[in-house]
Amino acid sequence: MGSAMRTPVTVIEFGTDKIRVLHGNGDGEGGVLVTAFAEAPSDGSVIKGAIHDPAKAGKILGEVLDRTENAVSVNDDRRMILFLLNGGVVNSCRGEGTVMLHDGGKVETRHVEDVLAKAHGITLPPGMVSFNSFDGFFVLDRRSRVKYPVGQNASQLDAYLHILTTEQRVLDQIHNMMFNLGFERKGEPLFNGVASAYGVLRKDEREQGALLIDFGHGACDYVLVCTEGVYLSGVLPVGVAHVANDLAIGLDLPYDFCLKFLREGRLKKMRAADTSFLEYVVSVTGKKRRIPLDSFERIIEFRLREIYNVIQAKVREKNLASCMTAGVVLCGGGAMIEGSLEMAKDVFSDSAVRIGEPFGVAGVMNGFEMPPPCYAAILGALKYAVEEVSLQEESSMDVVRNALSRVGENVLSNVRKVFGR
Amino acid sequence: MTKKPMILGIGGSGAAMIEQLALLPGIGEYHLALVDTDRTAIEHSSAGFRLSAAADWGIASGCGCGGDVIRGERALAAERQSVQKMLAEASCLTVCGGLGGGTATGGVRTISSVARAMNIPAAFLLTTPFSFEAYSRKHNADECIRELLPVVDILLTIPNDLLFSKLPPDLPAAQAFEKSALEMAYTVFGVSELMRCRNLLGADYAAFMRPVKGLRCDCSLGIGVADSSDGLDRSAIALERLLASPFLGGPEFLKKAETLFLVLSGGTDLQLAELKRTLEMASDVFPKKIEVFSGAAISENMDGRIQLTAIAVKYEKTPLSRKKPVAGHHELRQPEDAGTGNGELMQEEFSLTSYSRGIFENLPPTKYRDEDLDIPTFQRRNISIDRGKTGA
Repeated sequence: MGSAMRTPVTVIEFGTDKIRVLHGNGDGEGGVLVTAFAEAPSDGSVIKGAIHDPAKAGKILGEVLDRTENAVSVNDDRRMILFLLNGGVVNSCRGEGTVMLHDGGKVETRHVEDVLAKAHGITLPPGMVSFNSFDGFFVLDRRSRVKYPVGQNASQLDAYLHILTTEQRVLDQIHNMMFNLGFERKGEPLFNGVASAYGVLRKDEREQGALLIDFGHGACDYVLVCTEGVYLSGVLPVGVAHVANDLAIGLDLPYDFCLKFLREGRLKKMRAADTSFLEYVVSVTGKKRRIPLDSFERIIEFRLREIYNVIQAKVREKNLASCMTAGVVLCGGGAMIEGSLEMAKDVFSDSAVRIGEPFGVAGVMNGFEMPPPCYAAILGALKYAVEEVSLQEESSMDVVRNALSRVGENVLSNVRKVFGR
Repeated sequence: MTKKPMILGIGGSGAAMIEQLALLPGIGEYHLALVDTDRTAIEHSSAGFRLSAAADWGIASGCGCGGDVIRGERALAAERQSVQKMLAEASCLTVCGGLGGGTATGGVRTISSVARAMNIPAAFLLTTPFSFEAYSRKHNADECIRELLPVVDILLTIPNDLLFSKLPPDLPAAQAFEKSALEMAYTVFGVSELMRCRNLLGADYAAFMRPVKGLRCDCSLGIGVADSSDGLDRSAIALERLLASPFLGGPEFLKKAETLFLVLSGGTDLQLAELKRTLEMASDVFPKKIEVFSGAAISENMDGRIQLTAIAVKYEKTPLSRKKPVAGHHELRQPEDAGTGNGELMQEEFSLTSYSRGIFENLPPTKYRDEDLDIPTFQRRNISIDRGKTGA
């Protein structure tokens, strides 16, 4: 197990703002270490969380990999490669399976394997494949919802899986990109939202139920985790870029200026300095325009409130509001916008709301220039991968994985409990 | 200076209410504040805190903002720090004023923003324009209410039409406005007492907030005051006076009302039996379908007196905050009340406003419930934004 824990891992994130590469491994004692990290602006190659220009994205990825190549060799045979999937191309559905127990009524591992296999046997539209599956929950005799059914008595076992799907062409696009960059092994996809949940949710939050919102530059991912299973996930292709765009249009300012205004937290700083307005010099005429800070605040508030209201509506549509006992956890760059936390508290007024920071990762942490919540997804993916590697060691998970047939072309589906055992 | 509850008037109507409030017994427990763009009103005000906001940056005109909402907004935005310093003395806040003009309509957003940032519980009691006033005033008032609804906890709007509909037609106008200001002052005082005093019953700020938060509601108000000189049964006298209050809207309004806030304010001499009897009598008088929230507040300043305040609330069926936003492309729109069957021909409307998508211009839209989320939220909600002013 020790050697497996040290299996090198590479995580690739195609963010709307930055394309990132992270190398790491387990430290053999249950911890996670970063060995190298680099990022570069995606420069329009990724929009609203989805790859828009594969050629450009590939070029940028290559440059980022070059900056880390002194530290690692990406074609190490043992290396596990993970890439984060995001954007409007990601959908989710629920897989359901039922197994009747005729032999004494005690649930055994083979029953669990069978019911998970059935739950995974969903029919997808042409061109769509499932890339991640996560345990939702098990139900015994249509009455009791349980987390670990093995050993319990029942005559019927139902399993509900949360299955994430995307278009085959999206995966092919990424695999081709990586092949062109010299990767000999195909990477495994992981939903960005799940990675973030892995990065920032505490054990009690995963048990009691928490809604994780990764408020990114191009999109907001949300995942509802309860009893260590995924009950709901989704992507709202609206992010920090929309907030900056709103400011640019509303106040007739350059987009880049507005983005910088948000990132530097200038609204808060100017308020603290007792300033009521921003003086903007119109470059063409040289004249100054005084814009009330209240106008910035109003535009930002409208957008933030709408984003959180939409996500709340999605949770309520599925009647899952009662599964968020531990509250709401925000991460991503959008969580750091001034007023974002307060707005989330206002919208989710019945729940505790906090900003989550990734934890449980150490090592070479230089290169992380933005606040920690911005790296929730990539660090969470590293934790996920290290645990995945350790689980591969264990025989029971090997049996489960071997019991499943591959779904889709050349895509390995992982059926696993999300957050450890 | 110690923190005390504050009643803040904004604009011309707010100034009139503050003047009436200053004369009420028991007002010493409050800070009175006035914010206006009219310097003369500020100079003549009895308020302890006064803020004169310049309607034009850099030019201390002091002559009001001429009904221009943007000027009112700018004036208060420029004085945000002063507002902050003023509200630093407040333990809770009641804001009163009249919507439709410039100062209150434009400036109330800054007040709400500062109060929220400072975590000060705040209630807003604002009047809305007469029906005979210019359309632009009503439109400005509606826009302001729509924007305030999601961000304030308590917003009660009182239509001016209702305030004046029950007054005798031969009453001189000046007296009518004075009476209206007095009634509003009593109501503001009653609401403020609820937030300030040691509350004997459940109707405190949170209970007050819950039925009205986020909902557009029109209110009518009734006040009944009685003291020991009115006899032993002062509670019946107070109730009688409340029901006779011209601003309660009469049976026509009460039939449509859905919620009623009833606040009994009294002194340390208020007896339990009197409290029980008064609130029971008052609850029995109103239509049964109305949901009644009762509260009682005790204050030493009310010794020998009782005040019964009733605020009847009628909700708008389609709250302003849920008004259908623009989908984001030019389309033929039916007016909202088209086809109501009143026999009038309604002109259909084309939207002439173009909406920019900015950096998302050449990308497929992000659709959610018939809206394109790439269009700025404030544009889809038809909110106008002050872009500032270019100086020399």
